[in-house]
Amino acid sequence: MTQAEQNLDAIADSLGSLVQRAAESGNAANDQASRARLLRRAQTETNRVPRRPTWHVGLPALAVAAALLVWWLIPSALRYEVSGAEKDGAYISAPSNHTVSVRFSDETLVQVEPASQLRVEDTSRRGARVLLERGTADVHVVHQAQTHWTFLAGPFEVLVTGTRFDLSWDPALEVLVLRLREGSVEIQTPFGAAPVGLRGGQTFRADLRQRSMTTTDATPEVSPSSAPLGAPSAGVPAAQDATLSATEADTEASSNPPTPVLSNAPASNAPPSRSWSKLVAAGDFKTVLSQATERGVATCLRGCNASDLSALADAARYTGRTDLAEQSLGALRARFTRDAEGRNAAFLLGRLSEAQGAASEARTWYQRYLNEAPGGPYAAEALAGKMRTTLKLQGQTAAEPIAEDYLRRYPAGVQANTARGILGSH
Amino acid sequence: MASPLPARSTTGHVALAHFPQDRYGDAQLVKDVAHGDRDALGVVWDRYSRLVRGVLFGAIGSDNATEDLLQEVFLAFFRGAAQIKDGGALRSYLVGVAVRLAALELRRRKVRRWVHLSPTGDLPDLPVAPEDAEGRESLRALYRVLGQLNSRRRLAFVLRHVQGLEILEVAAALEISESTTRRELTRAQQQLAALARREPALARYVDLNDSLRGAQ
Repeated sequence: MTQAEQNLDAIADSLGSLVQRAAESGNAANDQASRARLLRRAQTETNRVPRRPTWHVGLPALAVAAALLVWWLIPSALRYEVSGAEKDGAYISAPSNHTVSVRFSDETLVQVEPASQLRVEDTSRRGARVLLERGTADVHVVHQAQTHWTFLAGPFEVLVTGTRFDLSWDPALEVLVLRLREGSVEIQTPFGAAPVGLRGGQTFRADLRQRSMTTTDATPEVSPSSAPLGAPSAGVPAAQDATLSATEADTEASSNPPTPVLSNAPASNAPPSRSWSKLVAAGDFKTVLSQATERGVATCLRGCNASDLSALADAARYTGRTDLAEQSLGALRARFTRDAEGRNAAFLLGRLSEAQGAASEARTWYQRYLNEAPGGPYAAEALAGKMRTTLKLQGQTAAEPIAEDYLRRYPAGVQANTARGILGSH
Repeated sequence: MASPLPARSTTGHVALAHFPQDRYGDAQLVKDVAHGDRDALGVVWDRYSRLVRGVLFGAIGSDNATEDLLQEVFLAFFRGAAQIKDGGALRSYLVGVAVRLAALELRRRKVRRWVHLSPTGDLPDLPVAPEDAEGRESLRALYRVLGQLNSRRRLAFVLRHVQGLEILEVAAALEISESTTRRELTRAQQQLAALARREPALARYVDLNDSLRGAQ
């Protein structure tokens, strides 16, 4: 190879590395959700088409299938119209400033909240498969005979007949919240074979990273922002705390009991009519956001107490309003540094930064949290975050001591396998 | 080709489900998938989704279509696993499918631009870390440049210089001979370097290598 060729090769390599870096920081956060989606689609195909039909059963089966197909196709599949946004194929992306309505021909209505994205994967005459990619959807499925609606969010699958509910999915944090207002649904989760049944008034929350699920009947009294997701919520009246997490997550959660919110901040001049932390716990994020907007976000950032700011940050995170979440957490850091909410905000800022690919910034926040709250409720997660970001920034050798530290402190922790993988001892 | 590490997501944490197959070789996994084994399909995903996503990302950029095509590649594998004769060549098979789908998508986009379905043909924002504004601009510029290469050269560049595939693997994926692959790569490199020199945001990538050559 001549020198000129070597030079061209080197230029192409350096340009290639630019693409490679971007690809690495791209859709990695969605990997688990994409994997789950693939497996669901494969399952659907398996159900629809026998993979190895033998001739003696194949022909009659084919005839039956053809008859079914005709029967299936004659009544037309549901149609839908989108109001408030351009439809790009099956994709529906709501702008950041208003809601988008998707109305189906059976009168089922899906309201896509601002900055949320979904797609209608498939429609049939009995319902549709709708994938919520991020954000919140307010759903009203009209019940009819043999209605069959499925809503997908990450690796979760919600089976619906006729009902009203709000569904939120944050692919970056891998948190799903379903607030069921009427009817009943079943949720197929990646944690186990049996679906989780939910009835009207219940709220279901699942955190994929913590491997935990919680179902509550009544509005919890404790802000979820202060408790580890998936840990039983202390003081929840009449709650059906069904923490169905994997044993690893339980171990970590039980060694770090949740800290109740104790607000030392002065009360706001105009307190909300209903506690924001209660609204967030009930999954009503949009009310929190709309009340914050009515009161003025800047005013709230300056004057709201720690509990409300935590709730606002949670509502913003769960609805994909990263900018508002960062502002709220920043305000907590600035105004309540010595309180639990202020310390927790450091960890949550780390999570947000990591989710956006800012590994260096994330590591700084995780370290700050570990310095300020070495025995805090998120200590294990923060140490794991520090391990991940160090691995990304400086490679395996630099991450090894942190992995050792993690295994020493949390031998059965959620990230123990990752730590062992780094140490090459799995 | 089996990894000694547990199946792991690209987000860095270990995948929730672990299957015994995660230590199987590719050939066994292909057989299992051919029998409709979804767990085996999951292991194949854990092993190769990063590579396939990288190929698609390099070829068409990052938007919703990338994730759709990623799904299509693995679904095509699921549907066609029974027809694969050499399961040990799974990696090449998946890259080949990704290349074919990416080429179709590039063609489709070109048609869309011709008939003005997409007014600009511009790519959406690319996922570079937000604090790296310079990197983001460079990446946009690079995709502008790549947009001026024909599909085959663009894909050859992606496979060789983004994914680091061997020439023979690139040739197999593009279904062309080794010598044609070398020729296409050389032309792609020449075209890229010439076009990149006109893009201020890419100057440092080109100038650095020029200055290195000067130093030699």
